[in-house]
Amino acid sequence: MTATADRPARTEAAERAERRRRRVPYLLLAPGLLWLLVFYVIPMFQLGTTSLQEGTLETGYRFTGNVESWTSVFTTYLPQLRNSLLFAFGATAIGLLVAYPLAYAIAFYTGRWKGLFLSLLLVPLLVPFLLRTLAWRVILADQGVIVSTLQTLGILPDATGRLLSTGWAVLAGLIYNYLAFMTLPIYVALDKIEPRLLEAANDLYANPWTAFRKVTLPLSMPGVISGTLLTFIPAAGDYVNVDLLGNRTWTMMGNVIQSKFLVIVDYPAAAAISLTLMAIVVTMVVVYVRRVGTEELLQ
Amino acid sequence: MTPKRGYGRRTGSMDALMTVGARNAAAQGISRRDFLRRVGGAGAVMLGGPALLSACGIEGTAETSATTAAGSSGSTAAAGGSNQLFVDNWILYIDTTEDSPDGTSTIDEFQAESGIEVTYTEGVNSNEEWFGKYQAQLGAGQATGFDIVVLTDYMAARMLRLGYAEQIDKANVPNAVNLVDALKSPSFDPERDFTMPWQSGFTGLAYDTDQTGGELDSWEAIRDPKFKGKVGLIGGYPDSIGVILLMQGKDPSTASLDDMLGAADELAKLVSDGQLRQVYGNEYIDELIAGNLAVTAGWSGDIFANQEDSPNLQFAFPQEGVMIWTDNMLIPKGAANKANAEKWMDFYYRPAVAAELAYWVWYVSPVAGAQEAMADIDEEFVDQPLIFPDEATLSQSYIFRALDETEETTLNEAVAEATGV
Repeated sequence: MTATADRPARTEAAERAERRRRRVPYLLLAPGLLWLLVFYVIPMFQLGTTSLQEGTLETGYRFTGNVESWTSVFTTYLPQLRNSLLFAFGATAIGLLVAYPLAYAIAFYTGRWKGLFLSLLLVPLLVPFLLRTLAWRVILADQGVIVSTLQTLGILPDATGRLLSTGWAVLAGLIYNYLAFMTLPIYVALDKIEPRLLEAANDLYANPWTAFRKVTLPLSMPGVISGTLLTFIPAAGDYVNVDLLGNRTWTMMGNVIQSKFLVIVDYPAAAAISLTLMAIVVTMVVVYVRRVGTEELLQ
Repeated sequence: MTPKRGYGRRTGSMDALMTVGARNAAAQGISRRDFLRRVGGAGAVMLGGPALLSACGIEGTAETSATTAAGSSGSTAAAGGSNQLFVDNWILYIDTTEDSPDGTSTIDEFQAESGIEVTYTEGVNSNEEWFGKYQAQLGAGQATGFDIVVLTDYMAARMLRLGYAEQIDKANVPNAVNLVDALKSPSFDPERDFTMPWQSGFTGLAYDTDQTGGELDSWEAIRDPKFKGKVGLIGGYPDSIGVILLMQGKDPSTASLDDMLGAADELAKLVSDGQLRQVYGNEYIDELIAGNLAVTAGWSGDIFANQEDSPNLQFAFPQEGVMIWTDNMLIPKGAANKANAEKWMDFYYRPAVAAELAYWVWYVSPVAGAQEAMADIDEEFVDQPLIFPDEATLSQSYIFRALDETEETTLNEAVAEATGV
């Protein structure tokens, strides 16, 4: 009697518990999903609708499905798009050449000073982005040490040669500003490598270069991918370096968007150009990650 | 013209906050024209994000502006009881307690006298940034949280055009009669019903005598091949196009749109020829001091403030004339403490207060009688033409003509194209 009465009750309780358990993942995901919805999905949707509007501040903006803003990107702003991609590629490639040996040295050769070197890498980040960039104006000034040295060596013409307000200064600023973001992920990947794997490679008659190529480099690839993405993506959208270190012949897409949004107050065009740049960068990133992910680049 | 540098007043409080290039800039007496303009731009893009997004449903304002103007004076009565005031201004554009000649800043004096509690912020990094940040709110009919904002002529004109400003109740600002004649009726606000000048300044020819090897007195220097790659201009069409119009012998206060577009063509040529090094914001002054520029358009107060440390800097009123601009106080639509804002305007139009302010900021005071009042503070500042310009100077100064929205957009697009964006 009592047993039959109890049993359904227990099952019900168990079912309730089971239902609660099933809800847990959704509850855990909820804050993240909500965040994504409010700060990513909705804004992207609104950016999309804005890009198809027409109008001015005085008349108001109306959704008309106007695609003129989109076509203007490719008819008018190809040089700026080229500059954005060139600068981003350059900064990523040169940044990698500087960052990899740096991360390697910190990971394998600094011993107990590792913490110190890592903090030295991070200290510049405590200085605001703008001031870090402004400092390059002093470094590359016409009467500064670097320019006068290059002039003495005959690399820069004496009277008219300069670095500041040229594309070279923009490239230098971009490399510098994102160097830590390139170095840190590579350092983390290298630091995790088990030393015994290298010993094993040595035991198998691999010379140091082969060991690096077959063991260290493949194991550090996740860091290289993260680092290059953390450099390439923001560099492609940057406009501050052009404003502060470059000049008007080296403008990037970021400068166009800033001008459309703030100066010309053409919100549809600003939205369309932003989305185009975003789409181009995402496409390149996807292709890159898939290729490197399959280790094709290493073969 | 041997300007006496005050007591380093504008640099003292800032030094501790800055490093590297920025410290250098501040120590050189950079004015309130923010050296942070650029970061302001960056911030505006971020802050402007939501504005951009909500731009989906922006309503037109052309049809509502008239009613706003007419109905605004009635709405102030409700705010009569408040004792708060929120002011947003440019950086380093007001005297502070520690640097005040009489030991009390003008804000302190205003608070003590009126019983109004002032929240003063230096949030205007650039006209465009301020507008981008608050346009969505203003367009949606929401208050910005500020009772006074200080914007340059062309941006004040845009605010008025869009109906984003409250009409000033002149009965609350009796001292408005002290406004100098030259500024009484700008084309964007002929009766000064919505705006009151805060300070004005000249955009003239600034140069480095070490590099030019002598005096300059013509805007022709901007396109002189001798200075190729060492020439600067200041961005924003009233300064860049205004200066080129002067160079072409045209009058920026009456120029047609075609004239302006012709000037934009010349700007494009200056950029593509490499004649122009860069189109600058506030940082032109650092570049001039560092020797990277030989000749540039420059703001009067900046040069004045730096001549003691860099005697090779000169500011010329070229024979073709100079641009004169004004930063205007206006009450953003929906301001909660409009009556207090009017009290503030009235206070700063007392000659003695205006003199105290001018003594600190070194730009052109818009208040008649301030020159006489300056005698009580410092005799040496009384005959300073960059603070109190004489008639001859003013007759050579041009205000950029106010543009309607279509003209402004056309010109902005032409200037953008000329400057690679």
